[in-house]
Amino acid sequence: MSNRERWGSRIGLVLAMAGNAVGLGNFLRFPVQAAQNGGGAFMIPYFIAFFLLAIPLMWIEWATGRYGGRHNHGSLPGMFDTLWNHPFAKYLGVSGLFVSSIVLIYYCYIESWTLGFAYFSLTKGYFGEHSITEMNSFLRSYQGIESGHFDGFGTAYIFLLITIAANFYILYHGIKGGIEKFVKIAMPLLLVFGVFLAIYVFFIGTPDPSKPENSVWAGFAFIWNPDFSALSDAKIWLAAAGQVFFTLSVGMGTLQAYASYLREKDDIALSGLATASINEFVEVVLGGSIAIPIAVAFFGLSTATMIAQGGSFNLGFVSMAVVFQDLPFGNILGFIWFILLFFAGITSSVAMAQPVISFLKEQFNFSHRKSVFIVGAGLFFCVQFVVFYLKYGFLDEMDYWAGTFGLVIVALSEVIVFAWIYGMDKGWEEINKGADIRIPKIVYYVMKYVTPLYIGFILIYWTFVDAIPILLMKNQPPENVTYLWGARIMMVLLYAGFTWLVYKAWKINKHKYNYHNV
Amino acid sequence: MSTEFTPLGIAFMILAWSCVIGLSIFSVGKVLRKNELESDDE
Repeated sequence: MSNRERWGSRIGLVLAMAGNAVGLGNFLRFPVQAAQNGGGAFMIPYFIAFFLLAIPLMWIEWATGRYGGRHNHGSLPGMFDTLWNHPFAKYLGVSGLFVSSIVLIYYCYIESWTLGFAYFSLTKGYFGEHSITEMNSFLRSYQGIESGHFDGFGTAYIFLLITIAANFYILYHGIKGGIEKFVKIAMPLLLVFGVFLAIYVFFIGTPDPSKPENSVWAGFAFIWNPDFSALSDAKIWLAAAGQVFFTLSVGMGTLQAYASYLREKDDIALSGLATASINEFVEVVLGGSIAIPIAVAFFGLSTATMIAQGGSFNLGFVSMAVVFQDLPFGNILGFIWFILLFFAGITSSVAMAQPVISFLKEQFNFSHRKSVFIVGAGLFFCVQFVVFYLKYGFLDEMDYWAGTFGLVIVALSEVIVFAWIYGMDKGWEEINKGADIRIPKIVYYVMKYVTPLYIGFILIYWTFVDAIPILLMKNQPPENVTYLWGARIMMVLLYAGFTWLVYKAWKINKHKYNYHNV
Repeated sequence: MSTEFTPLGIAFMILAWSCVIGLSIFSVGKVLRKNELESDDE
């Protein structure tokens, strides 16, 4: 029996996994995607992708993690090595370390904005910026993209330091004493704040009676009125698949890392389903009821559409901040909104750091303290580029290659390793070990055939539609090119570094990794 | 683009909400009833 740390309670595990899945995307990305891709009709491909893609992948990741944990592996290189008796397996798993680390680097910075804006809400720091343009300029000045409200990066940097310190304080206290303890407070608070804001939105009604068309109900109509003609467009189906992919945090190596702290006969079937359900509740019910309905009620449909098309940050940081200034107790409501986003962010970012921490502890016998310190220092070094080169697209470049394309690559490799190399029969047995619910047998066939084909199709489509133009830097301003290359070089170096570490670790621990011969 | 929340839109919202709320109550409720993990000393 290995001496790995364990989760203290089942609800702690489920909340940690749900916290990992629930992120900024639940509140900001989902409503925009739904509104732009057929409204209510979007939910048809969304739920189909949820059941055919996300749920099977999630169970595969939980099973891979629990199986790897039995062999004292909390990260993908070791997990793949246990599932596939081939020297290449561990190198394939490097992608899991890479994706979670890269996303952690820029995600922490975005997370720190939510903390900064929570503070500005309480202190009415942005009050007085009454229009979208003014608020947008406030955000850009905070990010150091333009001058005006802030002198340089100082303020943003302070909140970044607080955010990094908070993340690593939690991680320093380990799985049970840090992450589990924290999510038991943060997740219920997140749910209470989210439900409170969603109910509040319903009572906003029509803020300006002289413009009856600008109402919360028009906002709900924007998200939910179905446009069935959209269903004939392949893009809508891919957008839905992309959304369920991002929302459950599959393809990052984080679910596996958390699941590796389970015991052999702990249930994963019911716990996994509960995790996914909490995430969907937050996304579909809460995420769809706050930002877009408020934006439509205060700015009207056409402006709200423009805001939504401007991206998630415009919706979350700009339009919401303008609205709060017009509401009674707006500073408190603003604080609740931004701190809710901060909780959504931090419960995800601590999960992103976990695979590398586990890797260092298990493969190099580093102490927990040393591993946390190394990851913290590495993050602190790399995030500097994101902070200072944000305006040149550094963050977007990392987000595309790791946070979008990388997820699909990891997901495809893990489903192939699990269902086809390890074998679906053994895999099915593993998933059902200790299960508290009976998973319908049809899921077996979905995992084996439908899920890999679905992911393969997404990968091919995205390669031709997005990846090639982005790789060739089409439509990029010339001044950005050097920085985008810089982002790529950093990513390549990190990938190469992780590969080298895996090579070294297996050289050192050769005698320990004989699980295929027992 | 219509700003009227149509009956079909309302139906879609209620259906989607019912699905996720139902699934959450079923699964989280079951987890709460079995809120213990196996002990190491089996």
